Amino acid sequence: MKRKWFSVLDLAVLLTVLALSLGGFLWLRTRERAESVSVFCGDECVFTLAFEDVEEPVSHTLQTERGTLTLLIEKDGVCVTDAACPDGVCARTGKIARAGESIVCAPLGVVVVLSGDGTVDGVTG
Amino acid sequence: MKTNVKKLTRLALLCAAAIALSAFEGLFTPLLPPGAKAGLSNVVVMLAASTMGWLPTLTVVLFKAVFALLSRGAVSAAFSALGGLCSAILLLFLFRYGKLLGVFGISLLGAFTHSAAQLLLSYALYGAAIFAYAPVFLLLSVPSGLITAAALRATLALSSRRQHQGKERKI
Repeated sequence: MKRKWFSVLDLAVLLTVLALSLGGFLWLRTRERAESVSVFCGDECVFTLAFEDVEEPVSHTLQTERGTLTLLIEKDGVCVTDAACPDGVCARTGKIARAGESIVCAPLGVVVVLSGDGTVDGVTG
Repeated sequence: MKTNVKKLTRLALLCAAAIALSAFEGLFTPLLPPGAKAGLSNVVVMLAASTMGWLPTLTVVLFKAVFALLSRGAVSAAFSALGGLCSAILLLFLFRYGKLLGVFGISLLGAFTHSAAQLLLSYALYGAAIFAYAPVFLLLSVPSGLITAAALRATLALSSRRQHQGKERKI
C-alpha cells in the first residue's frame, strides 16, 4: 500500500474533529442548571418533576416491559442507581444536573431528560 | 475456483476476527464513558475495505451486527449495523478516491462517521437530548481512529512480509 501514514489533509481533519468536540463541550458548560426532570418510557412521558419540589432524595422505580430501572432524584440532579439492562450504560452515566443532559437506557427504552425552561411546577403522570 | 476458496477463507477469518475483537473490547467497555466503545473491530472493517472491496467489507459489518444482536439485543444490533454500514461505505469510497488522505485521516473519518450515524439513530429514537453525548463521542473518535490506523498499518506490514517470504520459498 503506497498510501501515506499521515498527510496534511489528515491534520485538517483532526483539527476539525477536535474543534467540533471542544465546541460541543463549551456549549454544554454554558447550559444553566436544570429545573426539571422528565422521564420517558418509549414515546410516553411517565412523569415530570421540578427540582425545587424535591426536599429529600427520592428513589423512583420504573417497571417497563423489558425490566425495572431505579432512579435517584436529588435536589441538584438525577442518576440511575439500578437497571435490569445487560450493559449498565445508564447506571454508569452518573448524576446529570444541567439542562439538556440526558440518561438513555436503550435496552429498556427509558430516557431521562433534564430541562431548564422552568415551566414545570409539579408531578404529572 | 481455487481463488474463490482462498477469498472465502480469508473473509471467514476476517468475520471471526471482527467478532472476537468485538467480544474482547466488551471487557474494557466499563472503563470508557457510557455508550462509548473502543472500536477495535473496526480494524477488521478497515482491513477489508482497503484490501478486499465492497462485498467482503459489508459482509464483515453484517456479521458484527448479527453478533451484537445475539449478545446485546436488537437495539445494539441496529446501532452496530447503521454505524458500521455508514462507516464502511465511507472507508471504501476514501480508500478508492481519497488520494490526498493518509491512513490516519481515513481511519479518523471512519470512526467519526460511525459515531455520527449512531448519534443520528439515537436522535431518531430518543430525541434531541441525546446530543449531550456528542462531544464525548466525537472526541473519542480521535484515539479510536489512531488505534485503528496503527493496527491496520501493522497488520498490512506483517501480511506483506509474509507474502514476500512465501514467494522467496517458492523460488
